[in-house]
Amino acid sequence: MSRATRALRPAVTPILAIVTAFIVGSIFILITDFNNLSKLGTDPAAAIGGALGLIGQAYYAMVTGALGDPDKVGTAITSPTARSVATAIRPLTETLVAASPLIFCGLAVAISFRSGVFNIGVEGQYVLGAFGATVVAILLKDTVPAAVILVAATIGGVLTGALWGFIPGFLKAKAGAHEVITTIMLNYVAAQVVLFGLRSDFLRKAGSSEPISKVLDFVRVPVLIPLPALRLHWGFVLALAMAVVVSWFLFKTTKGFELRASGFNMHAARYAGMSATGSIILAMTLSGGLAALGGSMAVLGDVTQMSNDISTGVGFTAIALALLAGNRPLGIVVASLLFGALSNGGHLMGIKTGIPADLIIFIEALVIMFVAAPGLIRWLYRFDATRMPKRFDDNAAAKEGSAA
Amino acid sequence: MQVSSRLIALGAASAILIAACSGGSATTAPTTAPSTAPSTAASSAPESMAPESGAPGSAAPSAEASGGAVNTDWKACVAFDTGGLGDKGFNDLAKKGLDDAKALGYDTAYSEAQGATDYAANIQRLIDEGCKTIVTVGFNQAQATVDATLANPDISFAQVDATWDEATNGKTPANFTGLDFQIDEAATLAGYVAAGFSQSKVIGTYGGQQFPGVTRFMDGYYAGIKIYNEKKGATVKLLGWDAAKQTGTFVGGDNPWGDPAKGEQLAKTFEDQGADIVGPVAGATGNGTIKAMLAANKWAIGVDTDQALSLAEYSKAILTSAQKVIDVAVLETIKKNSGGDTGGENFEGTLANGGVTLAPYHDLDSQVPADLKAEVDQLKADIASGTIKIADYLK
Repeated sequence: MSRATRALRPAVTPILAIVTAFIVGSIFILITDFNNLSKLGTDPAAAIGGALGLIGQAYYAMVTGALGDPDKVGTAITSPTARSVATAIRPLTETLVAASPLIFCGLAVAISFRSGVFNIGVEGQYVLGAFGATVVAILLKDTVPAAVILVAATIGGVLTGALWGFIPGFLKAKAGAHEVITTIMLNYVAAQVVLFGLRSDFLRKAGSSEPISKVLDFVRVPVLIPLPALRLHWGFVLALAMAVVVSWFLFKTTKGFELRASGFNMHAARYAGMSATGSIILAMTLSGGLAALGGSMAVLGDVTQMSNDISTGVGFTAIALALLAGNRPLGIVVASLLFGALSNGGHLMGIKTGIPADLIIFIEALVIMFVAAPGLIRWLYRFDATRMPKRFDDNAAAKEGSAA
Repeated sequence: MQVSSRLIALGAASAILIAACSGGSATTAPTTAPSTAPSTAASSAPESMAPESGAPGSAAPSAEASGGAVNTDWKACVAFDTGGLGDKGFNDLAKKGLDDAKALGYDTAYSEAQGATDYAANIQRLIDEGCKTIVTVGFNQAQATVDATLANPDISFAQVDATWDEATNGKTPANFTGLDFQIDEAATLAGYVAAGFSQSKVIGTYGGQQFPGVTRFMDGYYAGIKIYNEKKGATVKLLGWDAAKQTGTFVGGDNPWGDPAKGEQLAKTFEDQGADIVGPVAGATGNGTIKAMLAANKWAIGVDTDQALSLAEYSKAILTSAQKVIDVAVLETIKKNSGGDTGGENFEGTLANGGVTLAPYHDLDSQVPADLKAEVDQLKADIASGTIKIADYLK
């Protein structure tokens, strides 16, 4: 077997899972397409043609919305202006914008899962990180240069989220409170803290009766490409850098080894002289800080205003992403790009066809389910499971699938 | 540990599924269907066509865009905020306005946001799709709307129930239409009905905070009651607002708009002072008041939308609502933009143009006397024609 095919092997199941999810998704497009369904009795040929056309149009819109529209790329090549080039590459950059928070949160989940603690509170840590960054930024407004505010606000956000991760870590280590329960509950507390804070005159936009913060137009993460309406900013680069850092930390440092050792077997780790309680607290704190870094980048980069809908539920999607990727940083980056592309493309699909964007969430859920159940995919496509290389050795999801 | 990680995967997947299902049930059926023909034809038209002015008899269909005629080359779009569609209020009404435009032959599209990061992105997607009019709904999108309006002077923007904040953002740009509502006109009718319907002849009102958008309702109630008193020689009293002094009762505090328990307390306070109808202008806080009035077998006046529909469980207590007719405002804006008027001023919804209205009496219809209904209709006609000026009754 050549090197290339061997390298591609582990990708077969996820790719087939995605294809399957799209096929099942198209069934749902069909059965919600009342316009064509109603014609089925009178003019079946037109109904079937129309339905297939709709599916094709929907998925084409999704791909062009996520990667770029060939027509607009063509326009950009034939008449390159700042605006036409920006329009051509915007779909791709928006995919990266959508992927950035997923990378941060996916890494946050991975650190905790690798250490044997289940941080389900990434959502709350992300939201509270954005909130902390907003508070610091507004506190410092007009006092120090914008660059200083940016750094201070980011640090403030990270510390807020790290604290929000520390609390359940501490409770687990010192009092035995199960972190799944405490982190889930702290998500709700975080949401209410944000709502309460946004109602204060200090944060609330002047003249607004609604819970929405002042606009953070005085501090902005620099954009990567200075063309009109391209929002992609250095937060994405920071996300990639964090993937490298987390990978290095987990697999190349003593502390990282200790975390993973207590993740594999806490009792063995303790027997070997490592501090299990220290590992739990450290893992949760780092996890919270990473998620909060994502939230800070979002509010200081592409959103620029704190509100209670700052998150699109990235903290929950990230849990599934991290499991998909076997808690490996590189895998999380790839999975985040895929999910960023899905949600970004889904918006254009909704605009072009009127299919609710909820269908994208639906397809995302299907992808997760099929990838998490590789046995099902192998059974569906009848390929030989025993010949699959054991590349997923440290992949919990894959291991379970083959064990089942 | 393996078992629990599997459980979590299952939980996460099902959470996403549940989110998808609950969202899906709220949205309407896909509005169809390959409508590529007109839009691709328009975008692929060679630039040499340049339909500017030209001979009056030229075949270009876009030349008929005058006097509110429908310009089907015009693409009209609405950007909704998160979880907006399906609210039976603002968002669904804006969608209805867009659907009405589609029925007239306009090319239409809409976007739904899943979070704050989608607001600017969705507006930009609509711009890239060739939308010429973009209406945004929801206060969370206000800043994204302002940014897009300033960055795209060739596209007309409008925002539902908002006006341009000149203090912060400078002069109203020529491509922005604030969809503003002269809600005091509808509230005057509501005040008149309440005055005629009340048995204790005491009516209460309060606001969340003292903002112009809030006191406009209260001014209307005040004027309506005053008109009733003058006409009937009656002495119906309004508690909670003095339009002449512009002082009254406001929730204030940390949570003026989202505190139903406080709304229930305020209802009790007004009841203790003899009121049997209360008109709260305080968002979800007001819902608590309506609930308390229902429990006391008394009545309330709804605001913004037809609350007897949006708060159906309290409909037996909702006499009527002073309503902003968003769908008319959206449709009128689209027509105006496509007719060549890009904006620069607010759309003023009035009784005359149907932009504001008094909601039906619904469950209480049989209890409202026929002659009172007739008087309200007459008052509506008088306000619409300008015979009666509300400002005269605020002194």
